[in-house]
Amino acid sequence: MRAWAACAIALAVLTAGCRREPTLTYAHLLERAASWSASVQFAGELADRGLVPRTYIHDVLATASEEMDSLRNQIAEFDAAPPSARSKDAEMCARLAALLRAGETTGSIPDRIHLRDLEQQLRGDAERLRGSLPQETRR
Amino acid sequence: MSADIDLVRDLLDIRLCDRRGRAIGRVDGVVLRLREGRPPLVAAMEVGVLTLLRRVHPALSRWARAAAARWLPVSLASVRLPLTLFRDVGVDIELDVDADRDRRLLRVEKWLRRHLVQKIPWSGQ
Amino acid sequence: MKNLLKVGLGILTSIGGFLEVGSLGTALQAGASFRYSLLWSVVVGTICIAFLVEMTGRLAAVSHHTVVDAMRKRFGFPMQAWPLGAQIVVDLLVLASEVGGASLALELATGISIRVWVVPVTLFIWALLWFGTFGTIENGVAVLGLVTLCFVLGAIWLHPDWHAVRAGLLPQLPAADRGEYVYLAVGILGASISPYLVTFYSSGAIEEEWKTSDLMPNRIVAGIGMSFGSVVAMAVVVVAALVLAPRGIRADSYQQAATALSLPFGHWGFRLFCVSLGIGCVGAALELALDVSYIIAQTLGWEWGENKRPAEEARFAIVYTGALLLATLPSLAGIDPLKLTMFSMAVTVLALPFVVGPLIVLMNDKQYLKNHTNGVIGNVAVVTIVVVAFALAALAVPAQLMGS
Repeated sequence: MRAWAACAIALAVLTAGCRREPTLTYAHLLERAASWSASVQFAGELADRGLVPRTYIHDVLATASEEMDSLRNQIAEFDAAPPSARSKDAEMCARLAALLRAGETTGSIPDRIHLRDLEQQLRGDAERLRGSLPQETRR
Repeated sequence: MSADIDLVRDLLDIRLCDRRGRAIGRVDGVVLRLREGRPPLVAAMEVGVLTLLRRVHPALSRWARAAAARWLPVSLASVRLPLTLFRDVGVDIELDVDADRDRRLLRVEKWLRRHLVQKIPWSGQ
Repeated sequence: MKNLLKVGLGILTSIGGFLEVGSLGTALQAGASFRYSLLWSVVVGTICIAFLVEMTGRLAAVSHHTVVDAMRKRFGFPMQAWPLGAQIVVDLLVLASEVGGASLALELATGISIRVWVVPVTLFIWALLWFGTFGTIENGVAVLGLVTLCFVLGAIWLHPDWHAVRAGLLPQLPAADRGEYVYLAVGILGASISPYLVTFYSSGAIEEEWKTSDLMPNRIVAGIGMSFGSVVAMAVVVVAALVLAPRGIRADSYQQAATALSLPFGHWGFRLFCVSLGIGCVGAALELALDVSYIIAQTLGWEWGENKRPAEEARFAIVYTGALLLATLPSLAGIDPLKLTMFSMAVTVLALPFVVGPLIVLMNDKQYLKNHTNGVIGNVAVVTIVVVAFALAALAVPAQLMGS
């Protein structure tokens, strides 16, 4: 019993300091959303060249829109980020999710310029957040 | 010619086979018989999951026994095999029993074979 | 000639069987997020597993005991109970990942939901185990797994900067995202040094009735086979670094990574990715389901062996059947296979010290190994691996918190 208690205390001490910096966590959420936009754009380029089947396009759009909904909720509920930034970024994710769902309905990749624009805005916000952190957390 | 074997190192936890080489289980426990005014005697080997669980913690064995009595169609009671059944000691210990004919042995195995496995075609006999 | 064929086949099966959902998923994420800088972890993992499988193969060939068998006899059941329990949990988690991975490969290929594929895939794996033999499974599926060499060809075709690739073979913490870096390093090492590989290999050696004359082939297969296999895993890192990373694609799911081979192979690329994922996962699922049965049967002294008919070993057969049934549940519940994989790799490293630790004693026990106990190199290797295993176990929980 004492051995188990010692292990539990050691684990608690070890993990106590092991939380990621909240700003970095928020930046990661934005990067994940941007990553999904990039994935869909790349899938579209390959589909234009006939290198991936239509079934894959449906699949990636369906998965991407589900992930985007989840990321939008996580961003909107991220207490450590300022409310104005949260609502702006959540709104961008909502627009991305809507684009992806529309694409899923029609079975084709949505407007790529729009996707790229949203991707770049999300990456820009993530970069700015990283820039505000101490040196070792920047990319 | 006689030889000594170490009870813990060479008997406990060794796999047991019957005279046809079929695995019966392992020596999960060793039973000593205490005799009035005489040294204890190694009376039997005990084979069974309840004996094994008792070595980890007695409560585990009690819970397993209660659960088995409630839910299983086959008894999990341990089997005691006298040392007089010894035939040979090698990688495994060979005993002078026939696992297929001895009703005490491989009860769960036989039940599963009869009621589940052999219902599937080409599973062997 | 017969030995040469045996060694050749052993090397082929090691290469073909190396890539599965854990090594593929972690390598894709590592390449997409950190380009080449995690290649060193593939190398370290491979060196460790090569030593471990050589040792357990040697133990089986000389003593005619599997690792689990020898552990029960040498240490007794109370000491073995906890590592056994931990390994069963780990095996079931990784098995669920493999079933999910194989089902997802079919979803990617057909567009039909993974939930529809889980049951047929599991039935297929079960049927191979129930009606097949060890040779069919080990050799047949692993040789099919040579399709994963497409990653090696793809990496070469993409013309990586070989200087940068070589630099990735030495560990260096990145300037940013160190938490995620450590998390992925732990995941790659967990995928490479999986406990099931150790116990499965020694069980396979007994299935194939190895003797002391098989010690040299064992050494060659363990060393060369694993090394060639790791080249495939490193190629996955390189492909992800060249295709996904420049586009900012993070490979958080297999749907994002499925396009990794499309540039080198054109319209074959997507199909090759699906086939590699599918075959790699099916092969590993077969090994994992068998491993659950092996470790329980060997611990409890049941009749066991994939070459026997199910009626001769009903409990052994029912255990892997039950394991496969349980493995369907996470995918049916909608858990993403890649997320499940990353979680199960972290849990794997927690169990690792318990499986590897006893080898320090076993491999020096003349009662089992006679004149073939570990030399200095073997003992240094096994002690180092145990230290690495404990370090990984200590890092697993913080890495999961910081990196996932």
